Amino acid sequence: MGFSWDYLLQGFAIALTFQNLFWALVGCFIGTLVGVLPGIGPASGIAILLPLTTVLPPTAAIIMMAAIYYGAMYGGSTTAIVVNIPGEASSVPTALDGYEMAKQGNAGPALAIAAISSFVAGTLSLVGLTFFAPLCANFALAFGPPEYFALMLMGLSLVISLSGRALLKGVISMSLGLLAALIGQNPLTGAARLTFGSVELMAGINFISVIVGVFAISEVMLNIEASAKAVSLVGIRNLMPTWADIKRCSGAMLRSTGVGFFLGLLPGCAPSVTTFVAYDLEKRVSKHPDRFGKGAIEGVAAPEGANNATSTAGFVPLFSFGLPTAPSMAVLLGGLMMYGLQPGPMLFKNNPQFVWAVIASMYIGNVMLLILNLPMVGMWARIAIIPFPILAPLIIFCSVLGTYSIRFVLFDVWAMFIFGLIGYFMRKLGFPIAPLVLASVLAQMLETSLQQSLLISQGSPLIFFTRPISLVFMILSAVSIIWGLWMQLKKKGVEFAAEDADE
Amino acid sequence: MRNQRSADIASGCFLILLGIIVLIAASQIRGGMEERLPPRTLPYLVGGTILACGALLALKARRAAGEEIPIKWPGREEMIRIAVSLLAIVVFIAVMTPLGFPLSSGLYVTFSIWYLNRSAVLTALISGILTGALSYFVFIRLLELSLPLGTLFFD
Repeated sequence: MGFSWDYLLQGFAIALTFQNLFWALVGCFIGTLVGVLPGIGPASGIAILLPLTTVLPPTAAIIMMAAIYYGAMYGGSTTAIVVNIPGEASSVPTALDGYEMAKQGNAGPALAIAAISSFVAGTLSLVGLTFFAPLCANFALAFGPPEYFALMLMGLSLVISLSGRALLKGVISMSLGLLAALIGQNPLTGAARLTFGSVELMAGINFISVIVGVFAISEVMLNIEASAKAVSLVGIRNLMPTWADIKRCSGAMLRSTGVGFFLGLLPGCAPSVTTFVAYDLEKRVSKHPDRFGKGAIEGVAAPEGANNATSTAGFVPLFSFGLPTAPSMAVLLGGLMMYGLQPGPMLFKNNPQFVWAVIASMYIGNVMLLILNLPMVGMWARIAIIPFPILAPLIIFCSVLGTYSIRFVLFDVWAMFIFGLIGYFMRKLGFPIAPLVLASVLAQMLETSLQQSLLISQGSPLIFFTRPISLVFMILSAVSIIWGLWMQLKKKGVEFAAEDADE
Repeated sequence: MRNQRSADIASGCFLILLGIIVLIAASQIRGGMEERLPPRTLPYLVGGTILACGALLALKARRAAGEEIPIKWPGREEMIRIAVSLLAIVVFIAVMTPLGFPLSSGLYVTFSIWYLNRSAVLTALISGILTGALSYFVFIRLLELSLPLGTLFFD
């Protein structure tokens, strides 16, 4: 079941049908828009649209969803460079040098190098995905329920220990996500649990309500509080970078692809993390580190390459193990499950046409994004300066529409609203959000694999420590938690998570 | 809750309370112990973790030393803006069934844009009308989503 050119070519044949091309383009367009607009990120963007895509066939829907995710990585740089407002957290390092370049009258080359670097890194890491994912899936074929349980536990523990500097708060956030997912009927016995006698709670809390609430609604609240106003636009001239610029950035593009891709395979290493690592690395290897922060073009190429490489790398664990590494991936996982597709090694075996069509569409999507972003960059920059007071109600409208369309019950919309308030307070109080989101999506799979494992072992939890692969995952989970604890103990102050990103 | 330390103590206490509620609710779950994973086990585990972590957080914050991290809460003006915006969302969700999705969403968008940006009356009106029309023609008619049309008009 390894890589096969036949499958890839078949994937291209499916991805190149008019319908799939059209939805990939729509996804790229919406993705760029989501990337450009502050206040809405890819995770909530995909979550809002997911219920609305039920009218589409699964392949077209997932092609579009994936395009929104990697498209957002392109869009985020536009506002970072032109107006110094990063559309996504992953574009924060881009703004450091990008905006400086714009102030010096070089917005055009900065935008162009951002798009080119995104394209190069996106395409190179797609090659990585193409060859790596089937290999990993082959390995994952040996997994049984105990290995899956241990893998997901490792994923969650990595997300907790990497998402911020607040281990305890990360565990609390994860527990809240699990709690939300536990409410409702027991998936195996159907018995009510934690419903407090409420009929509405019997159906459970949908994870889309949780994601849209904690990301979109809380972000809107924070922006309303900050009363974000329109900003002035820097003029964009001479859009093409010189050959010298491209040559100077080629090393940065390749290095950031490596950093972004390999770190992106790990849960918790979201683009907002890897972009900083890539930027820092570029500064270290540069002969003129003093130019960084003052308009160095490599300072734009590196983070932009890294965020695209990371977003593509996230598909490797998603497709081969069914393990999401970031909130957006968790939503995509939910999307796959909604369509009855079980992510993991069996996806490559049972639905090769689907998975290869999505991978092939990503190659096409990258070309579409380059075209969408280079000549049309002026338009995106203009969209970015729509004042937030106009944008906020439209984001709420989309959120209500998206969550209501999951099951057409008003309860889901109320749940979204309440999770919006929870998300707002969590952000204010320094709790990381990513563990909550990932836990709420993974909870059902965790519970099922735990139940199946205990059935196999006749109730003995030792099964997780007696099988070699699951033992390795359990050790890695323990190591990541101990490492996180060690980092905590080193500093005595209060816990405060790093700014969470909707990605 | 002006700084991170007091906020952590408060959230720790809240989490202790939540953990206790979850543990009580978990004890009322019906089901036997004969299953390999008894139905109360996971809720007990989650409730217990929330309680223990809440207690630890509060304790840790009480003993915390070092620089105080202030929390930037909204001022009076911002608080009113958030409260009115949230109230508008609540009203939007509450009247969705009786008024219908197109009308309620149109009214919500018009009001909210106007409230957050008083000078944009025309933008608010146009956006509201467009939102309502989009809801009806695209989402209800074209995509055939079962959005409420309004019990007041279509009952």
